[in-house]
Amino acid sequence: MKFPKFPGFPGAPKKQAAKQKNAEKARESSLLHLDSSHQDVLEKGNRRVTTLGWVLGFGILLVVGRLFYLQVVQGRAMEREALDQISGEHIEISPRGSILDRNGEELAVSVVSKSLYVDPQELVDDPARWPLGKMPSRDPKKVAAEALAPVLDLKADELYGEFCEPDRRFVWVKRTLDPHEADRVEEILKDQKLSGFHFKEESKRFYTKNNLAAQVLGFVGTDDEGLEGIEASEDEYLKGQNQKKRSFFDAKGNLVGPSAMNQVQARRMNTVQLTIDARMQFILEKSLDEAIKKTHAASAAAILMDPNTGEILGMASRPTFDPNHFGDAPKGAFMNRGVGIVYEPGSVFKPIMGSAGLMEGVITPNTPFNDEGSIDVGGRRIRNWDGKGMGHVTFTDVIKFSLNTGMAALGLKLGGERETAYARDFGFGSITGSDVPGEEAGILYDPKDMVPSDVATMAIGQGIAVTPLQMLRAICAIANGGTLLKPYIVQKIVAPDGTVLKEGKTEAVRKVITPEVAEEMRTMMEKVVSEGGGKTAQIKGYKIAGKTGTAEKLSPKGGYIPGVYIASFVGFVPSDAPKYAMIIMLDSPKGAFYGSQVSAPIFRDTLQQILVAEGIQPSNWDGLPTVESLLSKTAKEAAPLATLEAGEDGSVKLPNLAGHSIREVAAALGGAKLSLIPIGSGTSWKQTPAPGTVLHSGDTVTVYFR
Amino acid sequence: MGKRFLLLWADPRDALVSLVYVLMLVGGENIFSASFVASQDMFGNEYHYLIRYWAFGLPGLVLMHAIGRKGDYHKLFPYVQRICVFLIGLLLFVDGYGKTLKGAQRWLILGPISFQPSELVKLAVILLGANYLGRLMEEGKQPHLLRKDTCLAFLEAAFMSFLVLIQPDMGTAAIILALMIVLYVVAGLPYREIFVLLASGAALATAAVIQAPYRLNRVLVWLDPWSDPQGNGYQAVQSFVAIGSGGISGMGHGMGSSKFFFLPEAHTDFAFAVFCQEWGFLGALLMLLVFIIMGLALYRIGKETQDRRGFLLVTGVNFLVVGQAIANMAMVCGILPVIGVPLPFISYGGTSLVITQAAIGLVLSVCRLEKAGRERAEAPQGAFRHQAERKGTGRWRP
Repeated sequence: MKFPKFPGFPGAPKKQAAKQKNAEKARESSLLHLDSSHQDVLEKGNRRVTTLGWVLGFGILLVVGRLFYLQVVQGRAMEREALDQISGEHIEISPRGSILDRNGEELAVSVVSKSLYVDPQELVDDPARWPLGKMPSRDPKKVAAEALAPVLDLKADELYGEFCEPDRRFVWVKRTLDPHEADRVEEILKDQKLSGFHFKEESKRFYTKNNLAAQVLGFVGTDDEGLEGIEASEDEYLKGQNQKKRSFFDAKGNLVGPSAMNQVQARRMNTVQLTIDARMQFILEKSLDEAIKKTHAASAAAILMDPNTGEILGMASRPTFDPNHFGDAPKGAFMNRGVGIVYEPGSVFKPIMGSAGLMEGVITPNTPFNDEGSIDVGGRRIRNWDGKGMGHVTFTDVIKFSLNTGMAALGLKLGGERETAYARDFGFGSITGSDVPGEEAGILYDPKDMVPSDVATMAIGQGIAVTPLQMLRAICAIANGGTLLKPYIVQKIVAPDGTVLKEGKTEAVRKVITPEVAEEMRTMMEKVVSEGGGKTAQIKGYKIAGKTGTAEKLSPKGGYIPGVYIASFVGFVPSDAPKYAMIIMLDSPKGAFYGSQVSAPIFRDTLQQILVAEGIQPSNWDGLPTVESLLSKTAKEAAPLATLEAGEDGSVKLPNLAGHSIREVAAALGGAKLSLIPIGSGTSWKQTPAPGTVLHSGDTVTVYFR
Repeated sequence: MGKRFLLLWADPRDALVSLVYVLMLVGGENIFSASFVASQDMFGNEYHYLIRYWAFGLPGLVLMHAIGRKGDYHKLFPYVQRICVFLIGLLLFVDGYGKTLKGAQRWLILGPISFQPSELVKLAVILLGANYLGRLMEEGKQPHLLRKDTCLAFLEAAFMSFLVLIQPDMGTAAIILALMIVLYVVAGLPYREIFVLLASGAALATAAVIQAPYRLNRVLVWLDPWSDPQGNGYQAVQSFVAIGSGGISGMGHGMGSSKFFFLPEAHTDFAFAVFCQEWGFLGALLMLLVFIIMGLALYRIGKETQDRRGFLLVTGVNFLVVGQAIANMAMVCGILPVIGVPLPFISYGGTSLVITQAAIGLVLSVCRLEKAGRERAEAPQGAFRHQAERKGTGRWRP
């Protein structure tokens, strides 16, 4: 019995008692050869274990106390700490709102894309990311450069050089990656276990139809600021929001949770819907392209308007540009010539002054006039275009054949005061108040300053300056029975929740002429096309009213530029119940320059396509090509992708959309009122939902292009 | 006999087995929750560690039951010395050629299998101590650390501990030495020597701290990790944040935030912190309770074991499982400095898991053989047999 060496050991007295008991027991069991020392060894071992057990128990108490302190006493503070370290500010880009045409087709959309950057200091291999013993010895910067360069279309050695620059903690690898590029990069980063790379979301604007209505739409600068066109004028509605949002980040600074890409849908912004009809706009753009090709005009403008409502259905301008690459635009391409240039209208102004004459009772359509080919006013000789006289004619003929002499005489009868007053009433000399950005007011005489020659030449559209939109709008007043309308191009602006923030409405500015006078002028203008100077604008089967105009171009330095003309044509169709009014203006055509030669045929070709496309029935079928033949002609331009049509319950089965342009896909989806989220640009290659999925009107289809 | 263990179980053996299952289910789930983020990043598969856990754990369970049913721990003792020599060889090899992970060479890689010899050493030391000290106890000798006839096992363990220390793996080295010391204490090491041991340990530690300023810094950081939360105190601070943010009832399974690369070693040594974050104070108490019951069960088994070597084996395993568990929890919540001590069944580690299961298997075999011996003693003759049975006389002297 060596054990109790420490007399002070607390267990000692008990031990003594136990020992005695054990001794007794040991004696009892002596037959089993258990001597007391063995029994003692047993007991002592157990006592030691018990003592050590108390030590552990004390440890447990400490742990419980510590856990209580950390979790119960400090729980809240620690929870805040945990939340703090996992939360971070994340700039969530709500992409800029879309611009749609009147049928909901997307003209401008924003897509959130990812930009890749790297912190070269973090671009090292972390053993914690590799399975035990599998970490290769390599230069991760080299590996990264070589793996990423081919995917991003960059040079590996340049990339490597940037990664190796000392002290740099932020290097853009590539900005606004295409989604498939971003996917590949993510894959590579994961496979190769490369650290330090991060994505930043950036918004990128896509003009789905490239140069279609480019000047109307305008474009957006790098910081999401609308710089031109509707993008600028409706910037406050369209502007995307970069909201600072609290999100969760892991310790490596990567966003935790679903990829932001998938949330784009939920974060759509206000939508601006224009009165523009993309199909008509397309026809208009093509017509202007052809016109420029044929006439080599320096610039051109064309506007298509609904004369009854003031809605601008199409507005094209040359030279033009692709807003997707606005940096490459030719000089002067940003100007929307439909509203931005002022020119001397020439003969197209005659119906305005003619209407004034009819209103004032100075003339009637049948008032006789003796045309001598020229007329002298205040020392100035005013000639007809060919200098020839037609002899005894009526006022109708004056309009029909665009006789300058007759108009000058009318002008003199009206006097400068009334001429100017009517011109103002028809909306000249002031901006139209339309919401098309970049409008000019034009120039009118102050009647007090007008000498008799001014009074005479104003009646033939000289000495004043107008914009194409002003001119078209004035003609619309004649077309619709005398009401001057305020043109508009923004149909409505809709918030994501469907609230209409702004709505364009037909607004009558004033009654300019009586319906009777309008009717008389319409008849005269109809004759211009059917019998007079505008025959080249005839469309078989339709009644067209119009007026040609050829004016010498004003020099910015004053006076006229010799040999340079502005040829225009303005008209509406069908003339007895006008649906479309259009103006076409060619600036400085080479070779032929008369409005009747260059502008009227374009007017004809353009409206013919629109009438057919819109299914406007001809009033007279003689000599008409069949609708089918015209349709098949346009069908060649269109995609083989059939336009979808929703069933009776609004459901539609989604086809495979791969292999088409954004425009084609948008058109196809638009038919069933499905909305498109295009991602990337080029040709479609992937879509969600998958082909065959049954969708309903209003659903969204995401299509990836490359 | 017939006395239920803590009402729930027929005997402590049942309790032990069922709690192993409980801990493995909880441990597997917790490892999955703690590791799926890192696992996804590293292997592209969030179940990697969960699968590996059971890939080790299921054969480990089979091994545990096999040893418990068929194994005879006595048969191991003749080989203990050879096992230890072999392990010393392995440790030397690992120190020379082992795989470096996080700055320490402790891995041996054999094809697809990699393991830590130092984990094997833990069990080997228990067997060594049980064999050596058990014989001393049977001979009625009191072990002394300074007597050359009783200090051999200690020296051998100290040498192995040293080999592990220079890997460097201070935690495992400490555990190896501590297990042997515990066995010495249980075998009757004089209190004077225990105090001398404690005092010299403290003196050594003080000297070490004074000698190298960076160690002093470590100690200061341990005492106040918040003084350097981004540097040396990072691991401890992250652990506190994880534990504390669990509050009373926890964030819920899988909902903890620390696994997102904030808490290093989230699925291994610091798995308990993740558990605390997701299950709160109440969950932590429950887990603690499981380990306490396990400890009591092992204690009862040891107490009822007559064979001294079996008794020491059971006691050693008790400290291997429950002692390590408490040390790990103390480390995770900042009572002990951050040294690598795993939480059995809860921390991910294939070698550690299988070794722990084998150790439990050995305990089960101790139970079985003890019971068999008791029945043999009880079965045929005489009244004294009853008394003998009651006192649980042993087969330790056949």
